[in-house]
Amino acid sequence: MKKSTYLGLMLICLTPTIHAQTDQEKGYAIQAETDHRDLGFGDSIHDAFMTLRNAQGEESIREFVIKTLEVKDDGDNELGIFYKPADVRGTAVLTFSHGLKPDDQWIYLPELKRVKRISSVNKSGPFVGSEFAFEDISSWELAKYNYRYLRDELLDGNDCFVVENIPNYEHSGYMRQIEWVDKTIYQPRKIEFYDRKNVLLKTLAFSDYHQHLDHYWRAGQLDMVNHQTGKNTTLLRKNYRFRIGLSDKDFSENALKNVQ
Amino acid sequence: MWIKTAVSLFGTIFIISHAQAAQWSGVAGVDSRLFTETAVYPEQNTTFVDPSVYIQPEFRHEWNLGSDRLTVIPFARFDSLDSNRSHWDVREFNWLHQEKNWDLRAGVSKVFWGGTESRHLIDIINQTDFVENINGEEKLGQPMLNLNIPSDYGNFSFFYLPYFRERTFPSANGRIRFSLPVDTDNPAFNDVNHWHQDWSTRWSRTFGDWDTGISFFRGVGREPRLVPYFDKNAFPSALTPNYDLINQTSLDVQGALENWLLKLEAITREGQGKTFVAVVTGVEYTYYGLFGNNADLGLLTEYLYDGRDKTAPPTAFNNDLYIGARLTLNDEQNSQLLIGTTIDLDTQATVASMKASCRIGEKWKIELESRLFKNIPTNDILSGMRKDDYIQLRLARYF
Repeated sequence: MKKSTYLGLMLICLTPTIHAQTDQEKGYAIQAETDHRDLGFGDSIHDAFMTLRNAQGEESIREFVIKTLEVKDDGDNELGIFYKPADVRGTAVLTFSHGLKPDDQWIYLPELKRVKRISSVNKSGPFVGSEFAFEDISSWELAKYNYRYLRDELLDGNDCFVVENIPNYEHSGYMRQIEWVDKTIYQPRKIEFYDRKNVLLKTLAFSDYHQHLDHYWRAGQLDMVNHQTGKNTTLLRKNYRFRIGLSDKDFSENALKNVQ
Repeated sequence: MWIKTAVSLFGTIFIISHAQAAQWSGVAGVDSRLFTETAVYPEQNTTFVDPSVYIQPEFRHEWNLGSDRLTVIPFARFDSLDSNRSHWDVREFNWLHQEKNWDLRAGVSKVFWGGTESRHLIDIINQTDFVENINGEEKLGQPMLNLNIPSDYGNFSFFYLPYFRERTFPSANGRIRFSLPVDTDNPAFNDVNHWHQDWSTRWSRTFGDWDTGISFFRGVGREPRLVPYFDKNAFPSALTPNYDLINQTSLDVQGALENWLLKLEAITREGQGKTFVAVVTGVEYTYYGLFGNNADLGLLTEYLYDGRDKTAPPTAFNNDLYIGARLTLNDEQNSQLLIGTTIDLDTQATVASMKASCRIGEKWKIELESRLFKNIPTNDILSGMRKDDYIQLRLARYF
């Protein structure tokens, strides 16, 4: 067989496999691109304002500051410091995210000056009584989910990939999530959360996107609606500052004790 | 020259005005303690209700972009029955300076060590404000110079403690006291005084799921020996607090494995009777997502051992078992409940306690606390409290 004929045959054989990217592969590729585009932000601080509303429309306010440190080849470090409500002022939560390995998490209680470990099993529990679960607010890592591309869809004028995310980590409260990833900015526009019984539990909408350092997109507003209880939570993220020179010392036990 | 001074002064004012503004916050509250029985001793108050009020304003000011911070936290309580319980204290009055690789705190401050629930064995830096609560969680402000160095090998903390604070005790007519009143006006110091220079160091580090710490303390022991005082009578009329110089080394370990928290606190102390070892160790197992997927229930059990001899300060925790449960609703009101019982395995003396709290609106909190003393033998250290079962309702306003 001539060498060129051989190569030609090879190509014919290979081409279909190259093009027939499975939906899983395509889903992964989309989220890998999301992950890739967010690499290198270094560190950031932002203010967070949460409004919790119950089915009767009664409101409750949470105010906190989030400090984030990007960690190479591992999940991010995060420190949240509370300012409101007044009785939890000075309470802080320190989280070391680790992709598939369970996260390490501590809470600092200012009244007793006490640092307590939080069990990493507590993924699906509500964060400060809101409709956000701990797993919703912890840093997103590529390895945490298996992905499947579903379709392309226009959502409120934004061209999106629709991807199914299936939690890979233990103790998730979700069977799956359906995520609308904006094709232009590679950021979520909407996520639907399905509970362990595969019933639609919550919908999270992302809006008010701003680009920082001419590169990194951050949503200024997140709206979480719980379809089963009628409660909802709005999270406003303001005053983003990047690369302020935070280091692992700012995410130590000592830092936790010095928050206030 | 004066222009230069004026300019730099103006510059300073300008910078300060651009720094984070001074912040006021704090809490004030009303407690009403309801006792279920008449007290053991005739000199004690006969009223069943003990209302009391407290206030704790907090002032903070940061400058140099948060590198420096002044914290001032005074505390005052007025109690309707017990004059010793009506007291005030400077909980904090310190300056914190933070650098990249170290921080220094100078002034009156508060430090907590430990992880167990039933007893705070290794926590030694601050003196216990015993009139506030007998659970050892309320502390007096401690003057200190505290250097903290976080490193790749763990956190290193150094403490210089130039002044000793005496423990508070209820007055003779107060409730929840020992069988004899403690004469806090006439403490005895053995080879030490208030100005004894105490030292302490601590190293703590996280290894994966495990948090560990080792601490040393040399100084005036925070726990006094309570020595009967004979006032020309055959029977003692009071207890004299006796403070001694001690050396204490402690180890604390906490592991987080799935739903389990494993806890250990251990000390060895010399200077009060024979050198002894004391240990608190136990587990906490938490069920997450009960009742409509939001509430958590933690079950706790701890074993307490204390090998001190009779010449050392008295303790109720020689050989005890603690069983407890913690319910957290994770609701908007942050509703919590902790119930627990400590049983003396030798005498079956039992102290049960309950604490429940719930936020109301944005700035109020309501708290219910109860403590019951059962099967307390007359020779037990807690015998003076055997009829002091109480329920306390606290309404606190945060500002």
